Amino acid sequence: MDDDPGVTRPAGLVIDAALELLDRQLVDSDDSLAGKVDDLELTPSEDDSHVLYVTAILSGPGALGPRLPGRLGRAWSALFDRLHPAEHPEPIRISFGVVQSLGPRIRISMSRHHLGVNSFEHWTREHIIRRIPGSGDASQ
Amino acid sequence: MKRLISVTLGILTAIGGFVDIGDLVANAAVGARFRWNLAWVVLVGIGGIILYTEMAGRVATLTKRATFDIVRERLGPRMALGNLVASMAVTFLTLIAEVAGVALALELATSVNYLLWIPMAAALVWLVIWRVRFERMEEVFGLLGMALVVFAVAAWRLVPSWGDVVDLATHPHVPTGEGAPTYWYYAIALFGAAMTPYEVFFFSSGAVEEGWTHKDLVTNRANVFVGFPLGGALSLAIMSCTAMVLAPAGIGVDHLSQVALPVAATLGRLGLAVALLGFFAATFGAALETGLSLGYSVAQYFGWPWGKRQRPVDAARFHAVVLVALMIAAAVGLTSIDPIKVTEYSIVFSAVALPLTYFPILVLANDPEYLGDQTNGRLRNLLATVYLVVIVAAAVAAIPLMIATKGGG
Amino acid sequence: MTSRRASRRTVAALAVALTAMLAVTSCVGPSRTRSDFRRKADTTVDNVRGAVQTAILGIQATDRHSLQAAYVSVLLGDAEEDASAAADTFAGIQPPDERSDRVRAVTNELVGESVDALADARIVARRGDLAELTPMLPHLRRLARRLERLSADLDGVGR
Repeated sequence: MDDDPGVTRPAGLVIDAALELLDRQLVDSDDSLAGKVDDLELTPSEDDSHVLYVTAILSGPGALGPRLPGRLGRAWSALFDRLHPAEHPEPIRISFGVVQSLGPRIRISMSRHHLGVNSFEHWTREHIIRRIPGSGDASQ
Repeated sequence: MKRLISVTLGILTAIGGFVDIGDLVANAAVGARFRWNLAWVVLVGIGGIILYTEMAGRVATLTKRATFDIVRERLGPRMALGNLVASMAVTFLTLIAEVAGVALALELATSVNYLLWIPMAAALVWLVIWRVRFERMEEVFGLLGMALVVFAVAAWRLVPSWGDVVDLATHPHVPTGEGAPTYWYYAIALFGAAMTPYEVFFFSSGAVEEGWTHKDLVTNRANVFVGFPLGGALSLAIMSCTAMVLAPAGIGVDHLSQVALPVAATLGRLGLAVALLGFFAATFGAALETGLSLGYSVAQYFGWPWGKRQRPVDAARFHAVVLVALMIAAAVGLTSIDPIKVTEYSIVFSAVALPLTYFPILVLANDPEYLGDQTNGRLRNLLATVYLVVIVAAAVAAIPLMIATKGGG
Repeated sequence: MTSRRASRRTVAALAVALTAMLAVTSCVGPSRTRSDFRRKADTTVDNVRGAVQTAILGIQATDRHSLQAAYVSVLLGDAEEDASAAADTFAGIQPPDERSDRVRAVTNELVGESVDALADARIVARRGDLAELTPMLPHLRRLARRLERLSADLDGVGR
């Protein structure tokens, strides 16, 4: 992966995206786990400098497909397209603007419930887990 | 004083939780067929699991993150996915065996056919995962598992001279009437039973669940360095019992009922009852651990919220994985597939999956980014690497030997 | 395109081969030679002897310690199941020649007697009449000795 200057909050930071961003755990504003950095959205700069900016983090099964090699990756993406309720499903996109800090965990400044349509978690919660008594209590 | 109690509790839990259906069947079967000629494998296996569990526990304690969580960012999504799929396949096979094991233990106590117990066993396992606190769950089943000490008592009564046993164990050979391929096949099976992959995932996730900190490193070490060897001693006790009672009679172990026979013959009604309690606790505890491990590994790979500390509604996918896994495990068990055969396959395939499981742990334990100055010393690395070579050799030889010996027949 | 089709075929072939190999690990094939048939007979006799010995040990223990009936009935049921399965498997093997017919007859007869004895023990245990088990010991012990002698004969140099 190329060295990409971060455009937003940790402004002007040049990092090795492969090491410091990809596959890192995302943590939301409630301190809850919010998925992993499965892929990155890179946007070329407007000018002639041939610089790529990381404009968003892509997360979720839809984002992981392109990063898995060959046939596995294609099958993965095809399965995601098939199972997703939307017509042309997109991976969850988290604009880099909400990234609060980097590190072992990437902290974002919004709640995970607002992250696009977290369909799988939502579906599982509503159709399976909520139906079972005691689902609202932690077993602690 | 409170510290002493807590450490003792940890050790007892480690001992009681060490043995699962794989260990019960493997040690009993090997004792009946090879007497003490494969005892050395148990010792080697214990050494390996102590070494690697301590590493995984250290990583989890210092980073507050569990194995699969870190494996993906360190080794990349593709390799971690391969790791995940292989580990899940083996752990799932183990889960089927453990749930069937619970049902078998209940059958031995009630004479009601084990197939009728399978749905209830799976449901009970799920219920405990759903409702019972993590620490409480570990304590209860760990302590109940101590009932298996009855095998040590029986062994003490049965063995006339431990000096002779040590002599036999330290001079292993392939017994007359058995071929070398069969000997090594059972060696690998025993090794896979001792070094079960799920144990490590569970241990590291448990460390995070229980919120271990730097201060707990000592407890971690005590559990592992004292608890595991004693747990291994239980395995050897089971092996000794069948070596003394079943081997002379030419009885091979094909059923869980035969595993209890030496205790029943030596210690009578009470001993038998305690042994059956031990069977139940060991298999139930292991079913809890394997079920949770499946949830842990998937959730940690994808970065989903996980753990029993969360309300289930906040970790819906994690709980859904555990629920579905238990349902499918029960369904497979209900096909009346032979539970002992499933157990045998689960331990042999565990041996095959061992390199995938253990190699990342060694990598992480050497990474200063995660452990700071607590990375492995040179001696530990040397030992761990030697073990990795043994693990790879066992993994490579497992399936060819299985085919060549027709499943150890 | 061609290379992908070829690699897909290779993967399919490997999958079939692996499945076949794994299936083989639990298969009993037909017997082509006389000595192979004797060996299979010997294995059957060994398995049945193990089952009979399990029953003997179980009944002895019950006699001495008055063990729980539930456990004893499962132990004996398992033993009967093992012996019965071994007997069925052997009965289904085609003997390669007429001399092997004699081996087959002798083995089947003794094995059948053993399975019957184990079934009797299982029935008694299931009923909870544990005291009725002890009188069965002499018969079971005789069967065990006969099975051991037959196994030794089968092991010996081929007739």
